[in-house]
Amino acid sequence: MPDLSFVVEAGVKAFLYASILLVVGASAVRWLLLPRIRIEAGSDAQTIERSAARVALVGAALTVGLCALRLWAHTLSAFGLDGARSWTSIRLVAVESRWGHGWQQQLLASTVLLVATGTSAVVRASWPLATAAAIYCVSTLPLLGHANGHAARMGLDVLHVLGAGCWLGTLAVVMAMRFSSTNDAAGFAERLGAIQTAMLRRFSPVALSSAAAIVMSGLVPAWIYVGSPTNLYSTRYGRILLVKLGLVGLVGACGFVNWRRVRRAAGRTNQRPAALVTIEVGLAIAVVVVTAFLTEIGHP
Amino acid sequence: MKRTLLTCSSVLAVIALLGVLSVAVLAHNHLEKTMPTDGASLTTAPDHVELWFAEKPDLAVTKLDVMGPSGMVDLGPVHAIAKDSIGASFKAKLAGGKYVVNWQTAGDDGHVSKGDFSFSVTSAH
Repeated sequence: MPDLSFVVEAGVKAFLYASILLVVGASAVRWLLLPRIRIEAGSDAQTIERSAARVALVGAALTVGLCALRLWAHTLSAFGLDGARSWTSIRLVAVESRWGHGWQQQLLASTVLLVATGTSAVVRASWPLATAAAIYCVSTLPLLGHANGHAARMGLDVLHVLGAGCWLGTLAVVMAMRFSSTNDAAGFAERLGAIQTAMLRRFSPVALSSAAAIVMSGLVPAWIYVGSPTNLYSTRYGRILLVKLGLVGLVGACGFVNWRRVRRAAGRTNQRPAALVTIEVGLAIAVVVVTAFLTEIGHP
Repeated sequence: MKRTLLTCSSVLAVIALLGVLSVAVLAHNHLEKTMPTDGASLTTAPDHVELWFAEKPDLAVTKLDVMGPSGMVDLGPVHAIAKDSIGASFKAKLAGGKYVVNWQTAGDDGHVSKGDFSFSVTSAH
């Protein structure tokens, strides 16, 4: 039976990772995807940009809240339920512990992110600030993980998360446009399916590069942390890592099939993204959850 | 040709990175040794316990308690003894019996690790 504090801390972390990936994905839509479809999208380009800005704002707001919740979860882990109800214990963890110093950085970064994305939702010129804030926020994640204290491994972690954000986060933002786009552009809702398909078609170079970055930056720490091939099946860390790798493989397979489909759909109007894209996003969420649990466990 | 070169460069970069980064990495904060040692049977009661860890323990979240034959043993404050060790002194001499030391600490990654070890005092001096 897993320790309750372990489950709580991993659960909070999973939501935090997801919210940060959303923000990175929104930035990727703005800088990597939108320029590729601006001509094709025509007047809908502005609606797409506003939609991405809204997703970024929601993601940033969630990040701040989850960062605060993460402090409570860590206090629960360190001092139990009684400690987690005590401001003295919470303050001890937040201010005096080494973990707390890293957490303070993360809280600051997520607050900056919220302000920046809030501004970019209103002022288009604030997108560079929002993107820089998203990268800053990602850079604070390794401060509270296994790589803390090792600059090179922290750099790989940052690359890993940015890659995940550019691939899986972008996909989630594109699919979430159904909820994040308003109806101020006449007929946008009717054109949404075709717009999403066009975005996904232009997405493949971004997805491929991001997937390569994820694999490169993930393989090295995985090799270091696992230590030996036998640990992959003889230790809890290794088994969960195998689950993560399996899920990533499935996401990649879905991505490949979806890529082939959107290529075939080129030129066809009113073609909605296949259900498999939603499945791909769902599997990506599973990867995030497994990663959160993996990073809570001590490696062999 | 270009693609092959890029692929080979990427593979070489990964191998090089593995070589550079493959220093010993230990899980959370690993307990390396204790004083008294785990399972020790002592004829002289110790006046303190000391625990050595793989990384500098984070005192803010470090806890130590000792359970003896008569219940919880009165301990002084937990403090750093060396760069990677912590300890606490017993406020009174230990009577004969079995003692279990429960510990909790965290290392650089912040993850809380817990454990215990035991020792016995066969006669009190």
